[in-house]
Amino acid sequence: MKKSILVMLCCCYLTLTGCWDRVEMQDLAIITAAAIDRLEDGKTRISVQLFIPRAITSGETGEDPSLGSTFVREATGENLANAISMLQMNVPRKLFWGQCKVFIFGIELAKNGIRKQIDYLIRHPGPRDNSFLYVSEDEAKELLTLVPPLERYSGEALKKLTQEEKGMGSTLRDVDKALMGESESVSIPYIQMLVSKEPTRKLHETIPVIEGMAIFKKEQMIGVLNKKETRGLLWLKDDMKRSTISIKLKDGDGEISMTPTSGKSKFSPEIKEHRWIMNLNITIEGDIVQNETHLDPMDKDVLLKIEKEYETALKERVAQTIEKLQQKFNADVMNFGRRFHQIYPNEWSKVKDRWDEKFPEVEVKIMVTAKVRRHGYIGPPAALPRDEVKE
Amino acid sequence: MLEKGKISTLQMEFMIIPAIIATGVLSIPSISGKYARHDMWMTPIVGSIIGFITVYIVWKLHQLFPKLTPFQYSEKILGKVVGRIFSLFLIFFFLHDTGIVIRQYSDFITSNVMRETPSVVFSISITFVSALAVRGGIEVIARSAVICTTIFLCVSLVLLLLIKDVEVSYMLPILEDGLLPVMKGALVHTAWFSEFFLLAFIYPFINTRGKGLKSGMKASLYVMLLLLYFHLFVLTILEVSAVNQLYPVHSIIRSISVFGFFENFEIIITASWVLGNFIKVSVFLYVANLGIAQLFGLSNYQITVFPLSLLLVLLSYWDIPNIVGLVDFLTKIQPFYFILVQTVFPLFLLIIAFARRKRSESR
Repeated sequence: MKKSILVMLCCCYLTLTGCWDRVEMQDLAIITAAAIDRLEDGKTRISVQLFIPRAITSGETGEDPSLGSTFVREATGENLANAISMLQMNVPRKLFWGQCKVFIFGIELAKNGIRKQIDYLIRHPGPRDNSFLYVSEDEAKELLTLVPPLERYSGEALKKLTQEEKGMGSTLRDVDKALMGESESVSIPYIQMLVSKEPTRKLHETIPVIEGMAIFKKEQMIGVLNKKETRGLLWLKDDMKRSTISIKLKDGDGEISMTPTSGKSKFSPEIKEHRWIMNLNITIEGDIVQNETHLDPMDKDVLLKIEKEYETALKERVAQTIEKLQQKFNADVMNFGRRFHQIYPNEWSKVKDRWDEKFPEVEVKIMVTAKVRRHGYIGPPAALPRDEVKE
Repeated sequence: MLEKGKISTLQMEFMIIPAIIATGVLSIPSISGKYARHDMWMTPIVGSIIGFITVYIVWKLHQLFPKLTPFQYSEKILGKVVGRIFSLFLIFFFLHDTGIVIRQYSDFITSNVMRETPSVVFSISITFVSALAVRGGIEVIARSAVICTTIFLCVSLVLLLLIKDVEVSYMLPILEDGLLPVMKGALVHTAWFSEFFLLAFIYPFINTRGKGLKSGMKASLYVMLLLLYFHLFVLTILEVSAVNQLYPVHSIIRSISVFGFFENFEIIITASWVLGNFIKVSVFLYVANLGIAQLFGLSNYQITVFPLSLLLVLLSYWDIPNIVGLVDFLTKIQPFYFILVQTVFPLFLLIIAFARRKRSESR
């Protein structure tokens, strides 16, 4: 009896090891970022940034730091799957996608449509759903070869930039969901190389930075929102922590700047006598960070004026962004369609097929409530004789 | 009597919950989402009605024949010949069902976790482990179920880490196209809920008589709540794209990331699902095995366990060509087939049994 138990236990161990899928660390090529480009002849090129584990462990022992801890390999194929299989032939280790949180699309590819590539990335069990997508201003491959001075590799720099501002990034799943949903439009960060002016640094020792938002309709990129308009979009997406807004008061001789500390935007769709209205309520709280004027924000009336001014300023910027999205791009990246669908399912089913025509006609009513919460360390303007302060 | 073991009602609940939900959590949300879309969270609630009905029918039958399993009382109700044919049919049904369960399990593991290992490794290993448990009798299954189900349920709590990604508005609009889509989505659930028929084979071995109904109903409620819990997370995170995913719950767990530090929870949950499937296969195999022993009057049921297990591994590859065939079966055939066998047939048994009793009383 004891012997048979022993035999059985041994049998169990044999089945528990997972022999076929055993992978050793030294057999893996860890991908940290990937770039997908469309070449002129219509072929797809995949470039991956591969991590060199040695470079991290050995630290600063004499290696040239500008070489970085990664290297880039590329391959070309008829489509993405094909290219990746060609890529695998150029890499002695097995490609490992689990750590790859950054996918950059070249602009040519983005303009031609990204659906085929998204399908591969979602279908393949390797890449994660929560990895970030970007569109590069130029060839995507270039950005992988950058060596950031601060981070270990450019993919990480990009990921950190995006994580700081949550509303900015678009994950693989966001894009899949948005292109599948009512609006069939999505925004993806538009990145380019930061030109470093430091003479002591080499040209490639820099990072990619977010320059705006690429707007996608169906699967094709149709345009870019510039930095200012992107801010407007971020306010809509509940993420406004990093963007300082400046205003000019009528009787002031300079600008007052505020950094929002918290904010919320609320969408309430409304259909009134066949008019489709989107009521947008934005509440924002912030700190005054700079006061160029002679006005004293400690004064109640002045503070009220400042808040009023912020409200109009914010309203204007958001309205600009919405105007551009509605009229120029006709791309519903704020998900107006879904919000109408949720509240007015019957009306929605009537316009569902011609949402493209309806979306630019939606009236957007923006209400902003701004509150100044703190003034920083000082109240009245700094470095100004007391009697010159206007109250 | 073949089975001398006795279990408590709590152990029974621990056995029956993974026996229903272990494979359900894998594929139900994607299928029910296909029909009910935004209302998919309602489908487990509607589907659970079949669960409660089945538990009630089974309990009534148990009260009529307190110490017998359906293999035995079907003979008393339907007569010797018909009853035996019915029992044989039930045995084949459970073997087929177990085959599908093993297939679902091995397909899931090979397509998500170990892609290069042939799926037969998983079918053989889980059947082998379950066979060992079945040889030990119902008490062994019950005790391992207590451990495995506890782990299974505790690990399910990791979904709560996703709460910050939840977007409740995805649940709107409620009942956009009326109740019909919800009903269609609930149909998938009913196949799983009808598996509460398994209780009929466990009831005779409960040590506290009279508590079975309450505990069966409780188990049905727990299963419904668990499915609701998984559905809510799948819907509020994936929205309609849940329909595209073959294993939506697994997909959302893959994306858990706490402070960018705690990640890759899917391995833990997969491990816990393996435990759940182990209990599921054990319970099914036990029932089929008990049936054969009782039908053919064997002196112990241990001898047929290993031959049956071998048959099961083969059955899991029989008739199901690939995942498309599997999903098609789960969507279009299984609900009707399972409800017919596990809810409607017992109902007929019950009616006939009552009719016979009435007639014998009136004489």
